[in-house]
Amino acid sequence: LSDRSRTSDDPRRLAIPWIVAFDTLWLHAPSDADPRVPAQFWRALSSAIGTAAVSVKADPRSAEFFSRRREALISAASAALSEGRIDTLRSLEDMLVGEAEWKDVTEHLRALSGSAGSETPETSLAWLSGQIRDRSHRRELSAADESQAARIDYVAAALMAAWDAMSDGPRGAEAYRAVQIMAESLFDLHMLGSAGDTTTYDELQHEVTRSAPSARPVKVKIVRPGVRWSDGIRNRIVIKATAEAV
Amino acid sequence: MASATESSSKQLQRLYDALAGEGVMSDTLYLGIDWGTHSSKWVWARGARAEFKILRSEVRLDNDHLLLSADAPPSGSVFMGGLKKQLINNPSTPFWGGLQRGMRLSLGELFAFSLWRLMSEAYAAAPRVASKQPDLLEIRFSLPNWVDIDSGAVGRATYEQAARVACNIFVADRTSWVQEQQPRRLVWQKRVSRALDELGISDDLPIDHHPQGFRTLLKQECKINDNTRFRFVAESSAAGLTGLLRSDQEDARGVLKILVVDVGAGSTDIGYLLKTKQALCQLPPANTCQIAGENLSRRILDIYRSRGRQISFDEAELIKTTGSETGWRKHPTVKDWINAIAEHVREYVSVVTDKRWLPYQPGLFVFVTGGSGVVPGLDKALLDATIDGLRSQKISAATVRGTKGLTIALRGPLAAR
Repeated sequence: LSDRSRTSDDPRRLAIPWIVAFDTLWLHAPSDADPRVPAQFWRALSSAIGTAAVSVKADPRSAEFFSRRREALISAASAALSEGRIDTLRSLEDMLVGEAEWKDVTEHLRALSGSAGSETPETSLAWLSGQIRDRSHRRELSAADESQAARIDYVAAALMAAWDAMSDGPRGAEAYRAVQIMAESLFDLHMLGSAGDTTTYDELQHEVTRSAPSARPVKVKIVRPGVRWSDGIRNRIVIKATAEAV
Repeated sequence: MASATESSSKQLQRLYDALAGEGVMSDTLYLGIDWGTHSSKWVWARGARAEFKILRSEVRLDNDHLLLSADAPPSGSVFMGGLKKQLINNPSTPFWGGLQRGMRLSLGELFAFSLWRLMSEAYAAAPRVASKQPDLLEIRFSLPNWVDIDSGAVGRATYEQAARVACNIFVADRTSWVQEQQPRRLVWQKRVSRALDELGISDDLPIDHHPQGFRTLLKQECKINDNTRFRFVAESSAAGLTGLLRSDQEDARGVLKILVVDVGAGSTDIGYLLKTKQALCQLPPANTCQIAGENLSRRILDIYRSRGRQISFDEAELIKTTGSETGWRKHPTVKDWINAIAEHVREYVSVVTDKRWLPYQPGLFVFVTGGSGVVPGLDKALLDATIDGLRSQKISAATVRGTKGLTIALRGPLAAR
């Protein structure tokens, strides 16, 4: 079909009879047939006909196929949800990514979990919760390297703001301590240096504020600490410490 | 590091949106490579899953082994940065022939190494969370706005050559990077030499100086083998695709016109995107404006230091992008920065050529994005500048009135306002 479609002026003309024929076959399929088959068929077909898939899907002659495909998907997803088969749910998700039907399926699953209550396995509920919460942003990227996650920047900025507040009195010091513990325990963020300390200059850790006698100072005095991320093996400087040459 | 991460995450989000705009299929693995001046990024995307990583762009030579790293090169190490600038500033220098001092590799060999290294790590990272091997591998390289200038033509041509060489080496053995992550200099030279022979690439190949060369390159799809292809996506358009994908502002005919202003770290890129029911078009972007995010961070740094707070540049970047403090926002120097970008927008809009759609309704949407796109007042100033530019083109009052900012519901860093 792929080769023929490419040479045809109207791939839709070829695709519609295929859909109608498949729908007839599916209607007579054994009751234990894999309900994902119609979705897999459409995936292969739409991949072969490219942009014509949009008009094929909108054609009234294919309406029954898409209706049955939707029912089959909901049936497959519902069974997987109630049995806690997350791998199956993920394979359906992969198959339908970018298609409007996936929203229908997750809406149905939400209604199902609400009515089934405690019968739905906890793993299924956690997966479904992620789907609902992130529906409009499911394609956001995750960082392969934890130190590059955007949340690290937010926590580092909060840590420095808390460090500034430390000089405001006992309450400020307590607030700083609380933020510091959170940053260390949950985000692997640590203060880099202490104000007033003198240390060997390291261009990767220190930003010199005042002109040094030589281009590269040997020793520096920390004016303002920085923030470092470390998971125990890898180390990354998130904010350099500000220092003066001594 | 933090600043590079923040703005780069957004660039990656856009690169991924560019991939998603094509319809990310679960049986296709997409690798997006954004090779930048200071930092380079990869993203892999398959089905609903995607992951990114940011590396420094300097190519290092440690004990005769080549590598890219997430960390800045330590003092005393041998490395080469600013490859992009080298290429733009020296268009007549041999790309594959001349050896760079210290590195003892040609600019082409260094380019190809960077691209191969990025795509190899992205490919190696992908199967960790996706069980089935992909049927098809689609690679996308982001193309800088090398538009009208003569050196841009050389940059485009040699960038394409480097991409072909890198892909050729990559498909010869997709797992070679996993086995040897830091190849020896001579080993890499031999691999490149073999690829150049196979592909018939050399410095003697003619350069396409045609003004349409930028568009032509964007339309090309290069087939490496039966299941591996690559093409280029314009950086400015990748930014605009975020707006296209997340907007429901099309009129009844499905027409959406977007002016993209991408305020990145080192440059501000402006482009014009048009979506109709039939096609998605990108017009040549404006020449790059050097007033951008890093420039604003320097200004914020100066503001705080003049007030006695000795913050570092990294912290200035975080104050800007996370919105954790607001004390700098009304300073006159920030206003100057906004005005400089607005003037660049006005100039571009006053000459942008789309006689078929721009003069008519619906109005133009102005989409401000990039690491510094969050600066308060910037979107309003850029909208006003756009309207001024449209008026200078004698666009009808009704269309000008319909021109507005494109607001998209965002969260996380993108929403830090």
